[in-house]
Amino acid sequence: MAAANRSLVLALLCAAALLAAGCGGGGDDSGSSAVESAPLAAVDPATAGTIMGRIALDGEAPEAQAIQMAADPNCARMHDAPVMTEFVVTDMDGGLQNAFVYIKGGLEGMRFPTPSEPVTLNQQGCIYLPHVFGIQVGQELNILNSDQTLHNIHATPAANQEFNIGQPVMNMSTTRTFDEVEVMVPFKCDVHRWMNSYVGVLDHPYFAVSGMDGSFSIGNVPPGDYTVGVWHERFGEQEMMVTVAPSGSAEASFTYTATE
Amino acid sequence: MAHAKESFISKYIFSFDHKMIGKQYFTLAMIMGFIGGILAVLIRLQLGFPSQPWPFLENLFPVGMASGIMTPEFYVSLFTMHGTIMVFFLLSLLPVSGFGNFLIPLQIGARDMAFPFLNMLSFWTVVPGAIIIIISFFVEGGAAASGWTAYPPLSAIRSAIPGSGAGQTLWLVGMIFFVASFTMGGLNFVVTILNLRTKGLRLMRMPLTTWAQFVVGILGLLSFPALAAGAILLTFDRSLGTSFFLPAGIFIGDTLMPHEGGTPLLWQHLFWFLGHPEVYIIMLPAMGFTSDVLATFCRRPIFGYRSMVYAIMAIGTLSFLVWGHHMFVSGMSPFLGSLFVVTTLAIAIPSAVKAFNWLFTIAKAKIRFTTAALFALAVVSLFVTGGLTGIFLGTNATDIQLHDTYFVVGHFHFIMAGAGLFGAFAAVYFWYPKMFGRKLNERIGKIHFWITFVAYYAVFFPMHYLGVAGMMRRIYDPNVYEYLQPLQPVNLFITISAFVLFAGQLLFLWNYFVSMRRGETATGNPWDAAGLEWSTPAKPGHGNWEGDIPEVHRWPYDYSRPDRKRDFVGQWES
Amino acid sequence: MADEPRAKEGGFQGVAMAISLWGIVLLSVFFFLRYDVPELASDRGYLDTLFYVILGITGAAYILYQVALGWVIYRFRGNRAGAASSHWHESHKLEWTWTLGTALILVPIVWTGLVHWERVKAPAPDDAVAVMAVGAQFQWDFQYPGADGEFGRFDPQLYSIENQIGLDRDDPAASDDWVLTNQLVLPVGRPARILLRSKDVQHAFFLPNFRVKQDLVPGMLTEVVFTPVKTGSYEVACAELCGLGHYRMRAFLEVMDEADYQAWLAENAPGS
Repeated sequence: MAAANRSLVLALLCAAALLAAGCGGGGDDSGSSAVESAPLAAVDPATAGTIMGRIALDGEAPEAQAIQMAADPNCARMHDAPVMTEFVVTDMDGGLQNAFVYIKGGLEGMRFPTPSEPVTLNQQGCIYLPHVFGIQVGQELNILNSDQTLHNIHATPAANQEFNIGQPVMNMSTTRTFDEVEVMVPFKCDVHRWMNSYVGVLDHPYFAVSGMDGSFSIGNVPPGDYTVGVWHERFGEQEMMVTVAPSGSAEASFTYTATE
Repeated sequence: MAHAKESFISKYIFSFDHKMIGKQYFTLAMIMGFIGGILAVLIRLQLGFPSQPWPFLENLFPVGMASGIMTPEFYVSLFTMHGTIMVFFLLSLLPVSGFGNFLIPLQIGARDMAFPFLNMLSFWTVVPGAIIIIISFFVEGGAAASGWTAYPPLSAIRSAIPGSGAGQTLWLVGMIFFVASFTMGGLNFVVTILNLRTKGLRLMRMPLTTWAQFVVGILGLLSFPALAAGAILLTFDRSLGTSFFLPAGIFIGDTLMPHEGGTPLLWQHLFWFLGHPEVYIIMLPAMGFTSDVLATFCRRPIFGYRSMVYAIMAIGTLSFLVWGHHMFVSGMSPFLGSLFVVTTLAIAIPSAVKAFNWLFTIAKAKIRFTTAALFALAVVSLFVTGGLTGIFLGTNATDIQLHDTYFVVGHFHFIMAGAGLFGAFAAVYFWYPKMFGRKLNERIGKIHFWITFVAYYAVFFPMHYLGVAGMMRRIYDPNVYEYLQPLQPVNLFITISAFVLFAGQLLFLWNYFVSMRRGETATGNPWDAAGLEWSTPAKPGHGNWEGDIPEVHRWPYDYSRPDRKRDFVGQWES
Repeated sequence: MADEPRAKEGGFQGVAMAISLWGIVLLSVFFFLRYDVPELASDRGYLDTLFYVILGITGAAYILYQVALGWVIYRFRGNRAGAASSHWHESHKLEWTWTLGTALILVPIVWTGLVHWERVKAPAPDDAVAVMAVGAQFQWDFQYPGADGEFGRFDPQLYSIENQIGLDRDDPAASDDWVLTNQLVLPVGRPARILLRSKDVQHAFFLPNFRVKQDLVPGMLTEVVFTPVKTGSYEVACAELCGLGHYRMRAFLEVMDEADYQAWLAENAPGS
C-alpha cells in the first residue's frame, strides 16, 4: 500500500514540479537491470573455497583518545570507564581491527539471493555496535536505539538515498534498505559527534570485517579468480588478485603503513 | 438580471463572478485551516505528552510517528507547515482573498471586480500552490522543516534536516504560486477600489473594511515580490549551486559545502520585508470587519471614522519600516536595531487609536448580542492583549530575553492569528446571509463563540508565562532542560485547552455547511445595517443589483441619527 | 422589532461577556504572579528592571482596558430599560488625548530601551575572559585561547571528529588553545566575552539566567559581553531552530569564584 501511495504521490509531484521547477531526483525507483533478470547463482558447497587472511598495521598506531561523553550526561552516566575512539584499533602484534574485506571483482553477472535476516545496528551507550559491518543490497537494516536519549541516524551515502532519522526515546527502531552497491556508507549521529559507523553495501555475500587480531575469513566462495578489496576508515583502500581453487583456500593479507 | 443559463463549470468552477470566487477562496481556506488545525493538535500532543506512544497514529503517519512515537523531524515539519498553512493559506486567503473579493464590489457599488478574468486566474493559481504544499508531507524526508520563516542554511542545504530535501523544494514552489496569486489579487483590489466606486461614494465614505482591503492590496503588491525574489534565489542556492544566502565554510553531514560569499542575513531581510507587512495584511481586514460589525450591532456610528482611516494608513506605511524588529539578536548592526525600535513602537500609536475608538463605539451603544457581535467584541479584547505584549518584543533590550520564546508565540497568536481569526469569524456570521441567502444558526454560533473565546485565552495566554520562564519555541521536548521541567503542567493545560479549541471549530464547520441548505432564510438586510452591500437582494445574482447601481448619499455608519425615527439610514438612502 | 425574547438572551450574553473579560483579567494576573523570569546570575539586572517597568505599564493598561471593555459591554447591553444608542461619534479632544497620551507613555520606554541596548552592545573591557563558542548540529564547542589570550586560526578543511572546531595547529596562536564540548566555565565577577561562530546552520546562544541571547550566523562572527555575578551551574540553550536535534543542543555553564577558576584552569588547560 505504501508503495502504491508513493508512486501516486510521485506522479502528482512530477506533474506539479513540471509546471515550475523540473522534477529533481524523481523516478529513482527503477530497480530493473540486466542482473536482476539473471538466474540466482548456484554455489556448489562441495567445490566452494575460502578466502582468508590478516590485516596488519605497520608502525605505531595513533593513540586512541577518551571520548568526552560529558557532552551528554545521559551518555556519561552509562559508562564507568572512559570510552575510547575506534578509528584505529590494533592488537599487540599489529593486527588491525575493523577493516572491511570484500570481493571487489570476479563475480560479475552472478546474482545472489537477498538474505531475509535483517542486520542490526545498535546504538548502545552512545556508540554504534558494530562500528564497521556489511550488508547486501535490499537486505533490511534494523536500526535500534537502546539509549535513553536522542540519537539520529544520519547516513550520507554517495550512490544511495541519504537519510536522517531521529529516535528520541529508548527502544525505537527503524528499518531501512539500500538500493545500490556502495563501499562504504558512513553513518553518524549529529547529537553525539563522536558516534560514527560504516556499512559496506554489496550485491553478494562475500565480505567480512577483520576481528580483534586483524584476521578474517570469507567462506563458500565459488572457485575462480577474484579481486579482493580492503577498506579502512583511516588508511584507505587496497586490493589484490587471488585465485580460489576448488575446495581450496586463498590468502589475501594486507598491510597498511601508519603515517604520521 | 436575465442571464443565459450558466453551465456548472462556468458557474462553480471557472466562475468570473467575484462572489463565487470569494466563496471558492473561502472553501479552500477552510480546508487548509482544518488541516492546519490538525497539525496544531499534533504539535500540542507532543508538548503535552512528550514522546508518549500513540499506536493508532502510526497508521496515519507511518514515518513521522513510527511505532506511534513522534520523531523530532516530524515535529519540526508539523510546526513549519502549521505556520505556513495558517499564515498564508488560512489567515491571508480567508479575510483578504475570500472576503475582499466577495465584499469590495458590493461595498463600493460595482458589478464585479475590475479584472474578472484575472480574479478567476488568481484563484486557480493558488489552488496548485495549496495542493503542492499538502503533497509535500508525503515525499521522501517529509514536508519542509525549517520553520515558516525558512531560514537558510537550514532550508538551503538538503542534508541539514530531512525536510530540506524535496519537501522544502515543494514549499518554495508552493509559495511562488501563492505569491503570484496574491499579487494578482492585490492589483485587482487597488484598481477596483480606485476606479469602480459608484456615484457619491467618495473615499471618505467607504466602509472601513474596504479601506482595509485597499491598503492590504497595496501592501501585498509591494511586499510579496520580496518573498518571491527570496524564494527564487533560495531555489537557485538549493538547485543550481549559487550562494546568495550561503557563506564559505559550511560543514554539514561530514561534507564541506562548496558555497562561498553569501549571507543568511540577506534572506532574513527579504523574508521579513514581506513578513511584517504580511502581519498587517492579516490584521487590517480583521480591524475593518470588527469596525463594521461593531457599528451595526452597537447601533452606533463608528467612533472617530477619520482617525480610523488615518490609523489604517499609518499602520500600512509603518509596516514597511519595522521588519528589523524580528532580527534584534540576529547579528544585524546594533544601530539598525535601535532604529527599528522607534518605528516599531510608533505602530502602538495608531493601534491605540483603534482600540480607543472601538471602546467609545461600544460606549453609549445599545448592543445586540449576535454571534457576529460577540466575535467582534472578542477581537477588541484579543487585539489589546496581543498589542500590549508587543511592546516587550518591540523594545530591543527586553526582546533579548524573550526573543524566540513562547512569549512570542503567545503574542502573535493574540495579535495576528487571534484577532485575524476572530475577525474572520465575525465577518462570516455577519455576511453569511449575503453569501447564501440564509443565516448561520445563532444558537450553535453562540456555543461556538464561547468555546472559541474561552479556549483561545486558555491556550495562548499561559504561553506568556512559559516565555517569561524561558521556554524556547520550536523545541520538541522542553523537559530536556532542567529549568523547563517545572513548566510541564502548563504545557499539559495548554494542550487540553487546544483540543477543546479544535473541537469547537468542528461545530463551526458543521454550522457553515448545514446552514447553506437548512439555515433560516434571510432578507436582503437582515441586520438593519447601513452599508451599501445590504441594498442588494437576499442572494445577489451576477451583477449584484437587479436595476441600476444605487447612488451613495452618506457614509456607511449612519446609525441612531437623532433626526430620524428608524435607527439606521442606509448609504443608498437620501 | 419584536424581539423581547431575543433581548433577554442578549442581556445574558452581555453579562457573560463582561464577567468572562473580568475573569480573564483576574486569572491572568493571578497566574502571572506565580511565574517569573529565571533566577538572575549576571550583571544584566537592568534588563529585568525594564521588563518589570514595561510589565507594570502594559499590565495596568491591560487591566484598565479589559475591565473598561467589560464594563461598557455590561452597561450598554441592549436590554436595559430605556437603553438608547447615541449618534455621537467624534471628539477631537478625546482622539488627540489618546494619540498623544500613548506617544508620551512610549517615549520613556523607547528611550530606556535604547540606553540599555547601548550598554548591552558596549565593547568588552580588556580584562574580559574571552571564549569562542562554536555551534554545530547539535553541540557547543568552547575554545579557550590559552595563556597567550589569542584564538588560533581555524580552517573548515580541518573539521573532523577529533578536531571539531577545525583548529589549525600550524598557527602559533593555536598551540595553547584547548576545547571543551558542551561545557563552559567562567569566573564570577569578571566580564566574559563570548565570541560566537557557527559551523553549519544558524543557532542562538541563549543563557536564560544571564539575559543573554545572540544568534550564531554562518560566515559571521558575533559576540556577547556580560558579567556573571553568581556562582553555580546553569544551562545553555540553543534558541534558533537548527535541525531535528535542536531541542537537545544543550550545554552547561559553570560559574566559579576566581580561586576555583584558576585551580580549574591549572588542572585542565594543557601545558599549564
